Amino acid sequence: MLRLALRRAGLSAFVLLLISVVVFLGTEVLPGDALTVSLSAEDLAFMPRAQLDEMRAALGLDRPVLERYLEWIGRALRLDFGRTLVGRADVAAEIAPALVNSLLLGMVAAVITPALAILLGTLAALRPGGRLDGAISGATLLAFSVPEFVLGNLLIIAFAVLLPVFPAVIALPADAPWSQLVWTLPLPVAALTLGVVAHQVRLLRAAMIEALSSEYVERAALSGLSPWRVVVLHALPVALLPLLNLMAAFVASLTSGIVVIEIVFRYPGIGTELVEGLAKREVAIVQAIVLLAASLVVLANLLADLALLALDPRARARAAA
Amino acid sequence: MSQHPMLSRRLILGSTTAVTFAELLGAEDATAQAPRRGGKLTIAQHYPNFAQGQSTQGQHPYFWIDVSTRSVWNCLTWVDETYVVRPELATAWESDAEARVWEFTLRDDVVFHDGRPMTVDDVVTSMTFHARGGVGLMGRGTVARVEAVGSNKVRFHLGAPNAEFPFILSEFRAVVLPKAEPDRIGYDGIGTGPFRIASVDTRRGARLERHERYYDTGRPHVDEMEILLVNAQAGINGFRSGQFDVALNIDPAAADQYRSVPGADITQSVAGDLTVIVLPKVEGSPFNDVRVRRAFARAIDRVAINRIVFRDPRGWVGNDSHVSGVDANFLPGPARDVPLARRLLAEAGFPNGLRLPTIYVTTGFPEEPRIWPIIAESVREAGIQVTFEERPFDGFFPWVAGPPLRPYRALVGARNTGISLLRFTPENQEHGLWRGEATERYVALYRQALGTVDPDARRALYHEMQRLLAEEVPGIVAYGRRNLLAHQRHVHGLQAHSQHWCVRYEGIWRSA
Repeated sequence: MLRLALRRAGLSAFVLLLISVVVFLGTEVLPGDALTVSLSAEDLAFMPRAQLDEMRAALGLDRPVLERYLEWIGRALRLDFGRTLVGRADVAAEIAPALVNSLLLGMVAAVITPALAILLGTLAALRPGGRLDGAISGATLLAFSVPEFVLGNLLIIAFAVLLPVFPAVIALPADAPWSQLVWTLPLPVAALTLGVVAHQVRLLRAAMIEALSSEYVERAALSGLSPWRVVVLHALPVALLPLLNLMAAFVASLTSGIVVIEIVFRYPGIGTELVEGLAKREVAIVQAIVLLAASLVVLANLLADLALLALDPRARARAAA
Repeated sequence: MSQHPMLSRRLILGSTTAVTFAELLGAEDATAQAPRRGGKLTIAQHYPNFAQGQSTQGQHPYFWIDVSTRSVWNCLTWVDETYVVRPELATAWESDAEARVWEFTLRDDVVFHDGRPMTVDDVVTSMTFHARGGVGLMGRGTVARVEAVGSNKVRFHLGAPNAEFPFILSEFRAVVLPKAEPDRIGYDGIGTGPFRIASVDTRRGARLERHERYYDTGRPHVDEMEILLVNAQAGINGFRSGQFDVALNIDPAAADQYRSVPGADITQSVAGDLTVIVLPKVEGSPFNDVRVRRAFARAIDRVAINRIVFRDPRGWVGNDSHVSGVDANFLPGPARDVPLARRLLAEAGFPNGLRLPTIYVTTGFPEEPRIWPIIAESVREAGIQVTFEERPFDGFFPWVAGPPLRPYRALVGARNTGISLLRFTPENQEHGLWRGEATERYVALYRQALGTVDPDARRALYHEMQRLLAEEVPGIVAYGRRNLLAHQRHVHGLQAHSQHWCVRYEGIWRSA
């Protein structure tokens, strides 16, 4: 088991390394470099070579790509992402408050999503084809089909305009304490999670129906256990395994969803920083955020893999083979 | 079919329908009521390109607040909604016969937010700071020396006569600051204005509180003001929900959505910001040829911009000077003439048309991205091909205006004629290195006009200058906007202003 876990961890580290190369090349080297990202092709032709070389040297872009990559990744490992092109501000300090705010949003969503999915998926699977199953299936199909930004705006219309319970726009500054920020979360969290919950409910419902009709669950029921013990202790753990497989996809979907939702609600998080960074061509900010987001997804995938190996003997057997 | 008053397809889809701006001029419905004191005003400020006024863009740490609102600082003078210069921290002023030496009498009841009374030394230090570069003052070389005259007068010795000098002192940059060393002045965020700064997040907003000892006794009416920088979607969502009392700089295309909020009123200023295309006359540039510049100017369909973007067919089409269409000194310019543009291009050696260098733009107002394609399409009819490329606001100005000079878009606030016509003189960047006899004549006319105290005689000179600009086209004033703001039913005393920084917030009050 330990060997398998180490192998998975090594694989994840390799994936992270590849991602860092892609992020670096994508923003620094292809199709030009940090300088050409902010200059048009026409402008590049228009400007004297000597001036371009001078600008490139000032940004340290005249050094070999490998050297620059190694320096960048070395600093990134120490959470030093360099400085912004404009203002020469420390990137880590610039994005830190936003990162913390997004973590709050993501953590709340990450707790609520599986809890809701398990509850609704289980309820729907108890009587397949019944009224409750129909209602849950219909609602999840709808929620799954609506894009997050539309859902966000619909929630604003419903719960900020027609029924003014929550703020439509988050007015707090980026360094607002969590105790204040947490009260603004219901709508962004709802917009962020409904689609993902819907997806997980549908998966769990299918897995649960299969588990409930299996022989071992039938045997457990015949042995005199109460129905809820059968469901919770015997059927649910098996039905949850497919969800664990989707952990990385879930974290990735949360990460991308956060970008959209933060813009809709004016949430002071990393998504807003990323969009601003892209618009301003702040390569260092974009690199830092993309690398951190990718690392989070890889880490989530690793944790899911390890959990699966620990919980599912079939997975262990497959991995060992 | 009955419909919920606030739930409609328009509400959900955010669709827009045509609206005539003349119809949007809302009448103030509470002028007869006595202002009610108290409450908080939440203001949404729209800037699509990540906060044009973010503090990093100005030399002043709180720059954007007073660009948005005249709320924290005061100037010696103020320009009202009809372009008439009024007293603010000065009560009166007079000049010598030449309009070269000006004396301003100061109010004696002005107190800074920290409780210190404003003195003549504060004013002299502030004005000297501005005149020497400081936060910046229109016509940097205008003021040669500032001195105190007794305890309540300030005397300005100008480098050259300027009959419109009081307008320069109404600029948002010309605020009175507490006396301090040149490298620290203004950095404490303390002013004399109706509100003091409670907190600032330079990238998201600011919270201001009432200045209890504001010189205009009884004002401001509201206790607190919060300004939030928002995108268009957040702006309308917050306004619909009642979270925002006021929305500034709204997109003309979104006016109907704001209007759909029960009781909401939209007000529009008589004029507003202008957008200039700077045409560099550098080596190898097609803009060295005046025929190319004129062809470009004549080919732009300004009427289409007004019709499609501003939905105001009678909107201002300008005359390729910075003079606002509602300025009494404005001289209407030549209309669009595509055949003439083609002829001019042929004479310039481009009978088959011409591809112009890319023009770089940074978006200052929500409607702007929709304007550039209209310009590109309309000049194509005359055989001119041009591409507009957007650039982020950060670092935009040094990047486009530094060497090598690029063709770029500049944003200009509407002002009095004297400041407007300064823009194409060598004192400013927007002339794009316009040089030669015509430039010299323009500068000579400008000096003569500013030294002419008689308004009618000055107007004649201003007209001549505008005719010269129409012939020479040193730069193109592509379009002008009328500033739009929306406010809720319970907000009173708020009026859109052609100069954003002249909207007075101390007179606003809430009836609920």
